[in-house]
Amino acid sequence: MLTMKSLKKIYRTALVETHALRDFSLTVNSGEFVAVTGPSGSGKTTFLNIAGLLEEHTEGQYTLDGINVSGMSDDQRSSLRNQKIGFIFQSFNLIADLDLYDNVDVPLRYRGMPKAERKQRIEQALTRVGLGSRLHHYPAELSGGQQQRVAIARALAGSPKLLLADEPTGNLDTVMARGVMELLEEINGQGTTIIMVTHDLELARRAGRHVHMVDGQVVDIAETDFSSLRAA
Amino acid sequence: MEISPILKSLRKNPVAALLIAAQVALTLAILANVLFIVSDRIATMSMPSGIDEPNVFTFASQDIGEGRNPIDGTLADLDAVRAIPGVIAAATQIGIPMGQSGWQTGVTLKAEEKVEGPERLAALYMVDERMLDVYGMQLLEGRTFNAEEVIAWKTGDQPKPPVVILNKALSQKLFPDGSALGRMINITGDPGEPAQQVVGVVDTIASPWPRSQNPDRVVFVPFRPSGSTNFIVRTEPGELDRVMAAIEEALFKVDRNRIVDGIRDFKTTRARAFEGDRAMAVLLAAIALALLAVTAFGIVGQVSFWVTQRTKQIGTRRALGARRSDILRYFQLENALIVLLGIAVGCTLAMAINGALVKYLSFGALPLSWLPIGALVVLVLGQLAVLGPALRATRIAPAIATRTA
Ligand SMILES: Nc1ncnc2c1ncn2[C@@H]1O[C@H](COP(=O)(O)OP(=O)(O)O)[C@@H](O)[C@H]1O
Ligand SMILES: [Mg+2]
Repeated sequence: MLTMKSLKKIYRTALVETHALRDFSLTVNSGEFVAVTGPSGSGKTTFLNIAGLLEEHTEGQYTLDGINVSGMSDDQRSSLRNQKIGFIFQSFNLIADLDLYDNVDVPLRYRGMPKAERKQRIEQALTRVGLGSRLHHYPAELSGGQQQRVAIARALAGSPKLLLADEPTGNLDTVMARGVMELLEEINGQGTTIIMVTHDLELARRAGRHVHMVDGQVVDIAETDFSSLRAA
Repeated sequence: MEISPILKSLRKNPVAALLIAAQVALTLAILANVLFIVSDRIATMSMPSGIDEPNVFTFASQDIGEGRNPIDGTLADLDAVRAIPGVIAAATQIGIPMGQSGWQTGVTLKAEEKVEGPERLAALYMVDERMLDVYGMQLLEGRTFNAEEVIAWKTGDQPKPPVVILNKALSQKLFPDGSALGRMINITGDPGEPAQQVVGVVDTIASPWPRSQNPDRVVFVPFRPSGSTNFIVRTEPGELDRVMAAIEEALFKVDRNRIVDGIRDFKTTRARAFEGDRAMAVLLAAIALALLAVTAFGIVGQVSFWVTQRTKQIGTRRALGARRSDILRYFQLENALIVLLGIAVGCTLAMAINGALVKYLSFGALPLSWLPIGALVVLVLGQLAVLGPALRATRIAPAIATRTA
């Protein structure tokens, strides 16, 4: 699904150079559920942003779904993002002025999908996250866990191959967090590749693979026994 | 295509958008009326005088003391002026188009008819046998005065000539169904048997008062003002400045006991006649421009605020696949929708303002064609104003989506 070879990411400001990623290499196969952990500032978000084409890497090679993304134009990256990737953010990033239906509609419109297909996908996605009866509610009327479910529906509606989540449970209490995690596992079970950054070691251990980062590098890749986890 | 979500989110947060729309409405309403008034004034200012404007100038000569015979003196003056190289024709005159001073008289067709209101009024021009050359004017029918008909005229004489010439406008007004030639009219303004015969009709020539309600009707009488009087001179093309510079010396050679002043080309005469109109047009245009600027800056300010306020939303949209052009288009569309609302209200308001102007200030009715023109102006203005902040929005990095709380 995704191959990174010796990636470097350097943030340059007038005063300092920050090496957010140094010699970062990682391969994620289709259908995997990868959890990424590491101390704050270790480069987890940077990795996710580069993986999701939100930022460009400084050096190295990145291949996404067989496509070498180096040197792509901003428009090309935008449409690739739109078609292949779903994002889930720590703070949900829903648009407060739009109801759930229109929030989920946002990425579909950018894809130029016909109205009827959008409607079907939106209703399907919201139903899948358990909010099919609240299409015309506004985000502020929902709990945090429900809002994150809307964000997941928004990410899923376009049937992306890769789901990227940056601390999706970071703003949720344990119960809600578990609910979201279960939803992600279910989605992964249906074939979508997921990469999730988390602080929660408990959740990380439930993922198929656990990547630990320190100081911009992968220090440890632990394969989790998938079958035992599912049973737990 | 993205209109419905934009509308929905505007409806959720309507105050700022409504304020912009209101400002646009007011701007359009005022702009449409100002454009109309200014264009009306420009049309007025460019009305034809009927004379050879670039080559005509006027001046006044005043005799000092009791020296010379006014009638002979004026004839000598005219000979001297005509002798200046470059002069085509010269005459003493009462009545210069747009000159803002002159005579006005009532014209009637029957003995018992009374002159009431402006309908029967016409400007009275005193001219001699050279009238066509002096003004650079066309004869349409009949003839001009011949030299024997022209009488020297002094202040206080009552103009009751046996023959008169009309301009086209007066001729059509008095005789809408046929030729004026040979017809008898009364130009004294008093009741009485018509005693002036029309011998000619000339083409358009304006009255001295272009801002009056009847600026286009003129009757010509065969008199030569004499003594202290006004002159009109027409020169060959390109000779005007030279002749104007030479005029004083030429007249001083005839007689030094005089004052020559008010030497003025026709361009100046016309400008002075419409000074008020020009001032009004400039003032209104300045107000309209200031209003447009205030509205434009208002939009720039509000949209800049929105861009800052929506930074995270924009980053998120980018993360979800919006191209830069999608972000730009969002702001452009949003602005167009707000401005269109303003236009809808503004058109109604424009008609209301015009209604008040018509009612209380006797302006003309606003032609509806000014509304789409005004609407286009505010629409383009809105799009220009939104462009800067919207382009700034397109440069918001998609990474904002993950980098802000
Ligand atoms: N836009 C940026 N400009 C400069 N430095 C940055 C920028 N984004 C991240 N960094 C730095 O890069 C390093 C990695 O950050 P990040 O990937 O956000 O870490 P994590 O998500 O693991 O907390 C940090 O030192 C951070 O300060
Ligand atoms: Mg982070």
